[in-house]
Amino acid sequence: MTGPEYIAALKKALRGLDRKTRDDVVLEIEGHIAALSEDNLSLIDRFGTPEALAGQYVEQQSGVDRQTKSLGQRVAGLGKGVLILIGSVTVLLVAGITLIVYSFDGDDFDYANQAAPELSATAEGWESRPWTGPVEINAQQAQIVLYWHGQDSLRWHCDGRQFNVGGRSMEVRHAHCLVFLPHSAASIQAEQSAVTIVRPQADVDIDLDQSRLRLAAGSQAYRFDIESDLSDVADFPNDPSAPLAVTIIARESLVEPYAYE
Amino acid sequence: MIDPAFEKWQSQLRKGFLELCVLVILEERRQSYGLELLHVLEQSGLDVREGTLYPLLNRLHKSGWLESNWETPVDGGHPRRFYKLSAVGKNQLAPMLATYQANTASFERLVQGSLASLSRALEAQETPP
Repeated sequence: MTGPEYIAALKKALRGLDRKTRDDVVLEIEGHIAALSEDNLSLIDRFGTPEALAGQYVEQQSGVDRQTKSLGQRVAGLGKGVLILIGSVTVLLVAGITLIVYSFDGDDFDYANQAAPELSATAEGWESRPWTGPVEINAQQAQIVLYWHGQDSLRWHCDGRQFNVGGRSMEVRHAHCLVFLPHSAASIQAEQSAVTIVRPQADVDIDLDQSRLRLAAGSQAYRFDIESDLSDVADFPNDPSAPLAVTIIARESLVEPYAYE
Repeated sequence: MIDPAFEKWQSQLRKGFLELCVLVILEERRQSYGLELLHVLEQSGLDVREGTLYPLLNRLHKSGWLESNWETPVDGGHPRRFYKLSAVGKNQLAPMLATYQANTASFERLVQGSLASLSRALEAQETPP
């Protein structure tokens, strides 16, 4: 099992954890693997299987949750109050998602048209950076459109104040970005965001929290692996023999094909 | 084949002991990250695998005994998660060490007592009536 394969399996197995803990665990293990020198020990020898490693973290999280819950119950004598609170939170959550989705609608640009002059190399406001290897995109309350181009570079155009391109990742917050990715695997994490993906040309791993994902697949076939929780996910034609994989984990999110409206 | 009950006992014994070792290292070094901790433990003669160390760090962190922060090496590369003792962790370390040392001393007295009894029994067997 290679490093990226191990990390992909670990991410999947950690889905029971809260987002921050999961991100920290993955980044930490990823860094450790990257720093390892060659020896006879496999990743399984070192870490155990991804599922077993993740199981330890999930078990610890459950222990913390149980403690928190029992304390809360003792203090507040929860019962009906909890149900009312959960109901209220759910209503607010649904209203929030609806508002976010509504606010990102009404765009008259056809994102699937990669020949559009707005996306040409000479257009003002575009930035570029040489890039090889995997890309991580983290979007928070953002709107982001992702394309792939056949170059070893990351190219982007953002409107908004908070976006940052670091060593291995791009952070986008409260901004609207158009991004061209290199031909390497991409990992996308979106929280309360709208993400549009146009014809992926590499494996993509997408993790959604209260977000909307639109995927323009065109005539390209993909191996889809989709897990959802409290989400509305459209049917995507899965081709098990397709060379490219699209993995989606969706929580309280909307996943649908992209069509220019 | 190893007895599963023995494995469980070994694992339980090791768990608390390793936690203490990690806290001691962090007290001494002020802060450290996973790979470095692993090397220090290895140099001390403790064979610890990543699959044991990282969940242990997470457990201590969740307990509030450790604090952590991310730092990117000056020469670039992957960011490292550094751990250090929190105020709670520092307060816990002294009684933990005291408990461990008291237990070790008691155990040594027990073993010495057992050895003395065993030695007397052997002498009695060897002495002709």
